Amino acid sequence: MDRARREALQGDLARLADGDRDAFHPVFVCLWPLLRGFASRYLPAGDAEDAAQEALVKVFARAAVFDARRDALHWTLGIAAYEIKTARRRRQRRREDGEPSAEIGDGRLGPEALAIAKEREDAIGAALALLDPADAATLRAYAAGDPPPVKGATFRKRVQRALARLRLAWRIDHGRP
Amino acid sequence: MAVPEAALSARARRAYEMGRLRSALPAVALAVPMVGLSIVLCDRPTASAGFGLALVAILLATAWRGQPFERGARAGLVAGLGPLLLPMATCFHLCAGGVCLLAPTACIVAALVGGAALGLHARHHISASPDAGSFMVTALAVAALVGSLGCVIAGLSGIVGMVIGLALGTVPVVWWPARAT
Repeated sequence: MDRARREALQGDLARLADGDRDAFHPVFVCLWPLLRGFASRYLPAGDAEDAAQEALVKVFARAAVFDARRDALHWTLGIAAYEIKTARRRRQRRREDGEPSAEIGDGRLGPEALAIAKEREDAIGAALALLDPADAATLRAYAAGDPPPVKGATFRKRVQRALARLRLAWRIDHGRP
Repeated sequence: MAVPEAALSARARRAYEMGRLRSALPAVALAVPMVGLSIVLCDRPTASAGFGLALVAILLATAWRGQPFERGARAGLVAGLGPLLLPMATCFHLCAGGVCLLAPTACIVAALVGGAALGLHARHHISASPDAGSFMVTALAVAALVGSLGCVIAGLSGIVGMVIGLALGTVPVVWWPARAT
């Protein structure tokens, strides 16, 4: 981050701490890519998005008590670093515990797993509804295995982008996947 | 990513607004013992509780709104300490007998001092700011509510005297430099 942007962030965050709502958007626009980039350096893509979102929300939740004499960038990255640490710890715990089996004895899904799957399907539907129609159409075509309407590489790229947007929409609405 | 970013922005905005409300907690925590003291010592629990509720509401609202309102509320809390404590101190023993002869005088004197202190603070820190009006109105309202918690011991006359004292203490100090410059 260059010096001018850093000073702008300092000023905007100080204004936000004082209660000036006009500073909300500039702070958001500055911090979101910054925190996403910072988290992606230490975590795999999915977890990085989650941690960046949590960090961003926490930065705004604590913005009212930000002390303008402190360095805004350090303060923000401190919060993000804590979130990254928490995400890594959670990831570690998940690996140690292992995923619980959702299947019943004969290999079929149990009622609880079915309910979860149904809930997840509904949530995917809701997240798709939030997407741009073109993205939603691309993902539906991909999921159905329809022949791509454009060249293979272009279609793959579109699917990749649409999936990223779907993941983001999912996480915003439902927390962790 | 327009839509998901908008949703994230909305979530961040909600977190910010809740954070602003939470930032009022220290001020509210200061107000709670004031109200408790007033209820215990002033023998008018309903009025004390009413003033206390109004004070908590205004502290929450000003902390949430921020800017000059929040600064004004902080200054008002300090300016109101005199009118809160002095009447209680002067009447501490006499109140047991149900007579508070010194209380109205204490209310007025403490309010004059508190008002003058508020005026001096405003004169040195915010007199040139366009937000000076919002600051002063909020500060006087909070100081009057804090003072009322103490001056309720002297009844309505004590409260009215305290409000007049606050105004008389503040206005000349704020008005004088404006004329001089």
